[in-house]
Parts: sequence; structure tokens; C-alpha cells
Amino acid sequence: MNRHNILYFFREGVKSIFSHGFMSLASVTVMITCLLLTGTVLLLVLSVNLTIESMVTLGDIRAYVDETYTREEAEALENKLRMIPNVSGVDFIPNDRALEEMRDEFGTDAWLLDGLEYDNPLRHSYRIMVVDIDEYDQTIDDIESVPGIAEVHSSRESVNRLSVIRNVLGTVSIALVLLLGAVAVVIISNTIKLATFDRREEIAIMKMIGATDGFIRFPFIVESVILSQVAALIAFGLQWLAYTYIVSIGLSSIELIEMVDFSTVRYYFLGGFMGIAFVFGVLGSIISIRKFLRV
Amino acid sequence: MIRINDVYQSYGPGTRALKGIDLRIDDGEFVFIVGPSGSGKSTLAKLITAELRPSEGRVVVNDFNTSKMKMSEVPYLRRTLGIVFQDFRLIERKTVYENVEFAMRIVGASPREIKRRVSYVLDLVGILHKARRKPTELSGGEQQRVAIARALVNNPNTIIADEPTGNLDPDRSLEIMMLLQHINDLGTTVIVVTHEKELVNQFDKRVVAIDGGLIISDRQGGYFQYEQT
Repeated sequence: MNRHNILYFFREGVKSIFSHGFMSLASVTVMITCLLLTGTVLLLVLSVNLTIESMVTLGDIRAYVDETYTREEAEALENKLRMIPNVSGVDFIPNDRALEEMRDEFGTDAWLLDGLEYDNPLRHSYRIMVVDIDEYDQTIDDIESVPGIAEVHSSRESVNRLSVIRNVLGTVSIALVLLLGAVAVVIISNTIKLATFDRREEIAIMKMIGATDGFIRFPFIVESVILSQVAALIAFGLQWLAYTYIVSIGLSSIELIEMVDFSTVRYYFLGGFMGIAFVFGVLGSIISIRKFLRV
Repeated sequence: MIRINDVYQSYGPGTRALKGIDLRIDDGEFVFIVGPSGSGKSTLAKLITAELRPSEGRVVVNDFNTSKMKMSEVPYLRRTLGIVFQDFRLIERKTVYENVEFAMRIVGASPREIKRRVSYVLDLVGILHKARRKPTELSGGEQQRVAIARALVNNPNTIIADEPTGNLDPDRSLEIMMLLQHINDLGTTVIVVTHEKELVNQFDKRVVAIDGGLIISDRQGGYFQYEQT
């Protein structure tokens, strides 16, 4: 590609978009829809993931020490717990602190617990955080097998259920990217095919006067890149607005799922949308113009 | 230089357009390739422009062996040729100037070079005053002049014109032929494929006559006389 021609390619690409405006609009609309659907599923995956992560990293595992153990003996278990693979943090909660926490939970009814400090029935315990939730089950089994640990409470069931949902959504999102990507490729390629068909005579002339395939192809690639990038930017804006609105009106009140904050993932979404749209756009244009280059 | 050795061209089983052609055209020559419809003269032109690859034999055009070259080399062969068509093949949405400029853009010429050269060739073919017009606003003869300007603009070694006067009246045809002769006088090889007997006979040039896929006559300073041979 020659530097003198860059402006020419850009000008020709833009002209072509407006010369068949309806088809251009259709391809942008379809691409926006594809990106929005994919983005929505992806946001759900991220939210479920966040929910699971916050459950396990905030220490949903509580390991209770055998009640026959003294405080010193209970504290001595900390090292053994820390050595278990996948454990990221261990917080020892002596029974007097557990009682204090209970008082806090009881609030105005805390007087019901008066006197228990002299004969505390609560056990010493550990709050345990893990790294990888895929190793969650194994980690709990490891904790249970530590001598001195009498009982382990965890959200194993909920975490497992959410993991299944996350995996299903993950698979769905990959399938959606592929399926909607194919739709986007077809629509973009049809738009470019229309443009190339419109200019098939011109392409034949260009070939006869010595134009390389690259020179002929480039304005069409520019056209599809512009269309796909416009679609990506609009889809990104709509995704942001719609998601923020939906979270603000209701979903945030559902405590079961912790919704991901869009502002933390916006650059990934913008880059992802633009990247996916770029690949599908270029692919669509290359597929559609091939047959017209055989002169 | 163009060298065609023992070339056969088939369009399918039992359809042979050329049946063993040998032809050599040296740099600076002016050659008419003549023959009746279906004789194989356009096939020969297409072999020279690499629109077709020979089924058998060897075609070498300006050092490109079209029998063996890759598809990616075809544009570079065509840049050594200036091709003129019977139906002009101008891009209607572009002006005269843009049609010619476009051919230089393809080879990556600089804007300054384009400006200088396009004006020169438009002046050479006598159409500079209509540079801002669209092809549809021009007569057939004028459109063919633009096509010749486009063929010339990259300073090709050879101009190949396939029935360049097929859509023109006799006066305009003669003008176009005179223009091609003038271009030849400036040093460019010119090959004109035509079936217009009257026109050919007005010029004292080499005439290669084809009929039934064979060269039946090749005479320097000859006339269009394949009917008598």
C-alpha cells in the first residue's frame, strides 16, 4: 500500500457507505444487536462470577475447633490450615470474639446473652478464604481432615450451583459469539457484496489497468471497518446505558447476585466490541470481494 | 517485445480458438491483427493481456512469461501494457481527469507526478479542455481518446487496442488511428486488433491476418487481404 493512496481508500470507503445507505444501516443494526446480545450474556457471566468470588474470598468457610481444645491449642491449628493448598487467608476467631460478634448481631436483644462471658458455650473457629473456586470442594475436604477441626460450615451447595450457572453461561456466551459472529459476517459480506456488485465493471477496469487485488480490496475493507466500528461504538454506548439503568432500577436490590460494576469492565468491553466487530467486518469484506477479483 | 510460440488455446473439449500460433512483435512496431469474427484475434489479444493463459505453448510479453507466471504477477505485466477497449470502459462516476489519474494512482505515483503526467497525456490526445467532464458528456471519439490517454499515462511499453474503432464513425475512427500512429511515432509499440478493412488499408503497417485460429498472413507494409489468401 502506497502512502499517497491512504486518503483515497478512506474517501472511497466512505462514499460507498452512503451509496447504498439502507444496506449499510441494516448491517450496522444487525451488528449492534449481535454485540449487545453477546455483551449482555457476558455481563451475566461476570456478575455470577463476581458473586461466587465474593462469597469465597470474603471467607464463607467457617471451621469450628473441637470444644475440648484450649485457646492455645486452637490457635496452634492456624499453621496447619494455612498450609492447605488453595487457602489464601485464615482468620482465627476466639470464642470471646465470636460472642461479641453475636452480641452485635442481636443488637437490642443482646442482653439475652448476658452472663455467657463467664461460661462461654461458643467454640473457637477460623474464617477461611480460598483462591480458586474450582478447588473449593477439595479445600473443604482438606480442612475437615485437619485434626482438631470438628465441623466446617460453608456455602458449598450455593457455590456449586452458581458455578454450574456460570459455566453454562460461559458456554452460551461462546456459542453466541460464534453464532452471532457468523450472522454479522454474512450481513457485512452481503453489504460489501452489494457494493462490489455495484462496482463490478469498475473492478474489472481496475484489474485490466494493473491494479493489484490489495488496491481493489482496500476501499471495501475500509468500508466494512468503518461500519463495524460504528456498530461497536453504538453497541458499547447502548450496553453501558441499558446495563446501568437496569441495575439502578432493580437488579441491585436482588441480593442473591452481585452485579458487576460496568465502569470496571468498560475498557474491556469497548476493546472487545471493537476487536470482534473489526475481525468480523474484515472477514465479511474479504469473503465477498473474492469472486469479483478473478479477471 | 512479445513472443508467442506454438500457442494453442482451447475453450473446452473440441473448441480450439488458436491452433499453433507463432508471432513475434518487436519494440516500437505498429501491428494490425486482423481477421473475421471468430477467427481468434481477440483470443490472441487476451493472451497478450493475460486475461487468458495458453492451453499449450509459450507467451512472453515484456519479459513476463504468462504461461508460467503467478496470478499476483499479472498486475505488474498489465502495467507494462496500455489496454484500449472497443467500449472504452471508462468509469462513469469519475471525470475525464479522474479516469486517467486513477491509472496512475494504482501504480502509486505521487500527486505531483500525477498532475504533471495526466495533463500531458490529455493534451497529447487532444482532450485536455474537457478534463472536468464526465464520460457520459463526451462523444464516442472523445471517450476513446480518454481511454487512450488512460492507457498511455503510465508510459507503457506497449499499447494493445482491441477493436478501438468498433463503436465509432469512419471519421472518428481515422482520427483515433492517427492518434495511435502518433503514439507509435513517439516510441511505443502499438498493436491494434480490428476487422475494419478500409481503415487498415489506409496505413502502411505490418498486418497479421488470422483465420480459423491460424496466422494465414504476416506482411510488413501489407494490406488487409486475408480474404484473398
